[in-house]
Amino acid sequence: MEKQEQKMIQPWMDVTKFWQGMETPFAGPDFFSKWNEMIQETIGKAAGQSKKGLGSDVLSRTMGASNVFVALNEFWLEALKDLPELHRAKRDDIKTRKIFNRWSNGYKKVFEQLVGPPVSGTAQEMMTFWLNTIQKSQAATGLMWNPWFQAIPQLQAHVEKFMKGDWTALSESHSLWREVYDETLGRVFRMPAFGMTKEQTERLKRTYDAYIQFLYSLPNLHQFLYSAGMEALKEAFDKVKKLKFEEMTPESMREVYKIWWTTNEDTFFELFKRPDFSDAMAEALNHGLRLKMRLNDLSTDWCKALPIPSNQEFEEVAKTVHELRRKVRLQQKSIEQLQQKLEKTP
Amino acid sequence: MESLFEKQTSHFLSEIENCSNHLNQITETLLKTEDVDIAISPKDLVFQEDTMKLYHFRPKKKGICSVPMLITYALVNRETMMDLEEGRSLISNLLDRGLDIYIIVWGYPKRIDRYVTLDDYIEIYMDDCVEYIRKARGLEKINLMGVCQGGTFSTIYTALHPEKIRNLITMVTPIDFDTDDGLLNIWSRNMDVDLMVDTLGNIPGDFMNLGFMMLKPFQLMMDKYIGFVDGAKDTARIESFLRMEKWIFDSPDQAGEAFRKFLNELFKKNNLIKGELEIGGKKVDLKKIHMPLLNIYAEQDHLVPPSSSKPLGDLVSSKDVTTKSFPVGHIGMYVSSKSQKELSPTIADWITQRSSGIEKEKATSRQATSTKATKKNHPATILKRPVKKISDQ
Repeated sequence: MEKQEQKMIQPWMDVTKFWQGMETPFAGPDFFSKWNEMIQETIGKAAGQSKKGLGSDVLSRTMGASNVFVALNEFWLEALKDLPELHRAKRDDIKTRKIFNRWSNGYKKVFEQLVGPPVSGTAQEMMTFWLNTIQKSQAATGLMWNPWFQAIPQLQAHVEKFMKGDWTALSESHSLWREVYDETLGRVFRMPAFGMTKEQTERLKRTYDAYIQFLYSLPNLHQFLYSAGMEALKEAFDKVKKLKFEEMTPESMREVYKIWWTTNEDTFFELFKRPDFSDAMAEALNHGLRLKMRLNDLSTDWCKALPIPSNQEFEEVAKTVHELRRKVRLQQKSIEQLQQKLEKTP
Repeated sequence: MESLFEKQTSHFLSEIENCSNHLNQITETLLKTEDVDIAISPKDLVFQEDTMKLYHFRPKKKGICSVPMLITYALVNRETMMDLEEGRSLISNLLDRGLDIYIIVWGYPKRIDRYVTLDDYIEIYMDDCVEYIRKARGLEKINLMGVCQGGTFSTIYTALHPEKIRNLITMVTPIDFDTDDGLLNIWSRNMDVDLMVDTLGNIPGDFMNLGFMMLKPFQLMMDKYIGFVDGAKDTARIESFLRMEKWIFDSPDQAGEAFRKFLNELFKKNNLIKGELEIGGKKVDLKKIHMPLLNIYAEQDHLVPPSSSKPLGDLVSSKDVTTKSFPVGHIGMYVSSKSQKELSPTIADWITQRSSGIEKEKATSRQATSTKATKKNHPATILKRPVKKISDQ
């Protein structure tokens, strides 16, 4: 023990100062993050100097995953401190609920960090694109809501329900909003334009309409993911309640982590199997694709003046090349057949 | 006596020490690593057509199985999974057991390949490879092994050309797509595949990968990397992990039109087992598969569930059907220690037993080929762009 301390304690002294003398090492809430910051700083510097390649990619994915692990550990450290109280409050629903709410708030923060870091660069871009889109949509929504609030009185009630934590209100308000949008502004975007800029105006309006449709397909999908995340937390909470604080060791901390991720994996698997989730996912994907198609149209139009081929022109070339390849193959076969015939003719 | 505080502190410090050591080891190895080699078995490029290449593995033992086997892998990800590294290579194990192996490498479709269809993959590329081997080896029939989607291709090909295939092996192969056991089967039902292909052209490999990772998001996006830190005890393990990573993220795009037909006709309409799938203008009738069939599936497969693979035996007219399962997952089939021990002997023994008497057949085959060519006015073999032997390793 002494040797171990001598070997280990010195480099960590600054970081560990704050919990020395406390009753338990689990009392330091940001111990892991300080430690992780130090590791990341050291390794990050080295990684920054390394050449790009598989090793460097995997290192950053691993660091990303270790960030998530650190966030989780901190959450569990906080949560485990509540275990004795939770044990005492076994039959007190109000106290249990209070502890759960505390867990739930901490968990939300962890959950926000889960998407992104451990995956490949391109997948990360795809995910952050979605997250950025949601953020932008939220900002845009903020600007747009006021006039809608005034025009649709029922929305107010839905928002109040949502503020009280009822996520179904979000979905209901979006359905209502879309219905109203389709009958009002949506019609304006879809109506024919006229005059000199008819085509450009229509293209632009269609793109905007596709963008709105895409933005409002996302909350429905996210509602499923959020609900599943909270459901998994409740289940993990029940499982962790059975653990005994006094016997907590780093090994059992891993057990807590295992309970957490396997419970999540199972819960999300059940969600992913549901047809209504599959519908919501397909709806968001299809709206995203329609938006991409509209954006392609716009960019083709804008790039007309440039001396570069458009996507459509390239597609035509690809199709022609494919047809030519087929034709050449058929002719090659015919020639070889004829050659064989000739060879066999006496 | 140690107090609770001392005990926990001791545990905690040793945990941090272990973790630090592992991270140091990982960092040291990763920073030195730009790449790792996969696909280790030496092979020669023998035939090439557009992006597709046919390789012949250098045999390790001769005279054990004289009928060569052509392996067809999926268009999704790459065939390197079967030859990942020393000690985790199905190919190497099969070569050790005396099999003579060719493999199709589909390559990376580019934008110009967007219009390549399922018919092209099966009726042109696969058929040209089979023809090449038949001619090069002077055989009427060869053995065919299809893996995953490549198994579906091989099944379709065999149904269309039963006269060219002596034995068929399918591994983790989707056949019945109308199942609720696989998330991919459920999700694809609602996907507007036409919109996807019309918008994106070729389907990006990263999009496919994201879909695969969503099947087990917590394990594949997070726990895998945490486990990596935990188990990174030496350079060999780290490099092994890197090889898997290299394989997973080496995802070719999917040629748009081929993707469209595969999803619409197979995943959505399940036309293969209904006998309504048309390839190259011909209906695919699974009953035309009459040669011996070995159908292998993974019991814990989350990509191709057993309920999708198992029915094949009942759909063909072969009298000699062997269905074999392993208690592993889709990827574990190639790399788990259990399958390393059992899978290759199963395949090698099965195929060797059914490839005997070949010398006699070779003679009749040559005769039959020339008769066929004269009588039916149909050449036995057309060899395109023969390629000089190129050593790949």
